[in-house]
Amino acid sequence: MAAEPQTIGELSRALKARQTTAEAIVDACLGRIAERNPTLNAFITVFDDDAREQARDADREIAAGRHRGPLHGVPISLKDLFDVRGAVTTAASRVRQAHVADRDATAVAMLRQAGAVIVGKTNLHEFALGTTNEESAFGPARHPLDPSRSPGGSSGGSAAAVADGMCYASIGSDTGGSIRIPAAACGLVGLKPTYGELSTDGVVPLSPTLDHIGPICRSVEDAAMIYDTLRGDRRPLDVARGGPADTAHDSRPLRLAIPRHHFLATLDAQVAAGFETACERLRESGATLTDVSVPHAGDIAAIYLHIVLSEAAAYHATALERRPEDYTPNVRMRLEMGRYILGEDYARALRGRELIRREVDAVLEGVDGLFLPALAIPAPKIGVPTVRIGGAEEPVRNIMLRCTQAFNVSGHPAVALPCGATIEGLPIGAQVVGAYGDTTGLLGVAAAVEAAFTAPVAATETYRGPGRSR
Amino acid sequence: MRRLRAMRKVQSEDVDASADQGTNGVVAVARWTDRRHDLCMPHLVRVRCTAMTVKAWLEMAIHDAERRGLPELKPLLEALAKATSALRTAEWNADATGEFASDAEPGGSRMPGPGPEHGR
Repeated sequence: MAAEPQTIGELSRALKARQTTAEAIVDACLGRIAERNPTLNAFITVFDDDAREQARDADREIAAGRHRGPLHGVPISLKDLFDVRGAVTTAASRVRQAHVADRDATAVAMLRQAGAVIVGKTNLHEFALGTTNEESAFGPARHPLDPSRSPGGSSGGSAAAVADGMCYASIGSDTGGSIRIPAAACGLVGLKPTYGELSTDGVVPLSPTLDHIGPICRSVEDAAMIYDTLRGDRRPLDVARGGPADTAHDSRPLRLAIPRHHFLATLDAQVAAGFETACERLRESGATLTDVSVPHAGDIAAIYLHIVLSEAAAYHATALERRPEDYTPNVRMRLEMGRYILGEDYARALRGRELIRREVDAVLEGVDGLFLPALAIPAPKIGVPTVRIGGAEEPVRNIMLRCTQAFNVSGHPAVALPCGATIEGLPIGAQVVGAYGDTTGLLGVAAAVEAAFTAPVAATETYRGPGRSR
Repeated sequence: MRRLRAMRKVQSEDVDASADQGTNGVVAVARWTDRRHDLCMPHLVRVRCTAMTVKAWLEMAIHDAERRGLPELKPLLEALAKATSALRTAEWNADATGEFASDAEPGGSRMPGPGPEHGR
């Protein structure tokens, strides 16, 4: 039998050609979950019986010549913020223990229509308010390469599940980097589309004007296939390429801009070195890299904080009064902090957001995308609140948000993808940011960047790839 | 003619400036009594009119958090106060006097409201 498919593109071609079956693949994923979830704590809920039934249905349809598209028969998980009819949407909180969804979230319904097999719901930082996944009513999710480390967050269980071979992709949410941060920490691809493109209906909110949903998966091509599905565009699989045709960047050399000021100012030394090596790989591939500056980048953290905490506090105020003890202590305190923000300061933050959006638009003029790290540090140790960078102690939460939150504030689409590894073998992630409203164009650029990294470099030599770790 | 406020870093006095300096005015605030025999008789309590500085806000917030039995909020509120100071002192803020018009938008024109091109 051929080697097990590693990406959705490979799997979909194999399923369509009937070289394997959805039932066999789903069985393998469920077996992996049974074996590894006690260590990694990636899943909160597993839909064993439903998943097997969905897989058998997919096999019957494909055998009858009714192949629905690239996700048909593909095992996918959901961050446990997404409603699945008849299941509890826990948001990793005891606050939600009595909740049962009466219908599927829009994104879940679209995945089902596309024939995806929903294998379960993954662990997260409680209510998505954190970057490490440590504060969860179900305990922390753990990194597949080193369970003493965080897989990142808030979609940490999603990234751990995909990286460890428990599923082929997971759908997460991203309010300050919660898809891209764990994707970078685990050596995966994570897509945050343009704000508002994909429906958040049926998804527990954190901050509605910053919330995005998107996939965590193993290739840019896989991200493109899921993105197309979630926006209602289910084009047939391009068998030659494995994905929709327009994800390919044209043959013109890439023009990328690096916002060094602020974004590259506070990086772990190994991340900085890995990123510079990635830049060199891109130059060798013919890309042009120029330095740019987002003039008010230094204001982004304050703008973000006032928006996210105000909006989160509005959603949680009633529960904070009625059931404060059901929150994990740190998440409760961060939500309480938001209740003290004045309306005038929220309004200032909204004004600042417009400025940042225009400044990001401006630095994207004349280039195909921005190129910067996705995560300033490698996956941190669980329970460690600060990291030392350049002689200074930095709070882990702040430093993990530093490269990503700007594009939640601005709404521009962004992709995280692996670009190297530390000497310990921990992944280093890069990020490509595209023009507002052109997520498809961004995916084409990201695919070209990914292709430039496919030749043997530190990442592929040291890190053995998603699902093949350890 | 537009006048620009010079860009500057957040200074420590932005957080810790004395709340009451330069504010000599007083206002009368009606407040209900706690004494039962004074039902429906408001007391006029004279309080000093203070500027809503970050320091004043922080003191009130910490006091309220302690009243609510949440003293562990204090360091978080102090951190938030630093971020709020940064936000308030950013040179791109609007100002009703018109004296401090923002020139922060790329290209140098005055920053308008949310752009329709971003759909919000």
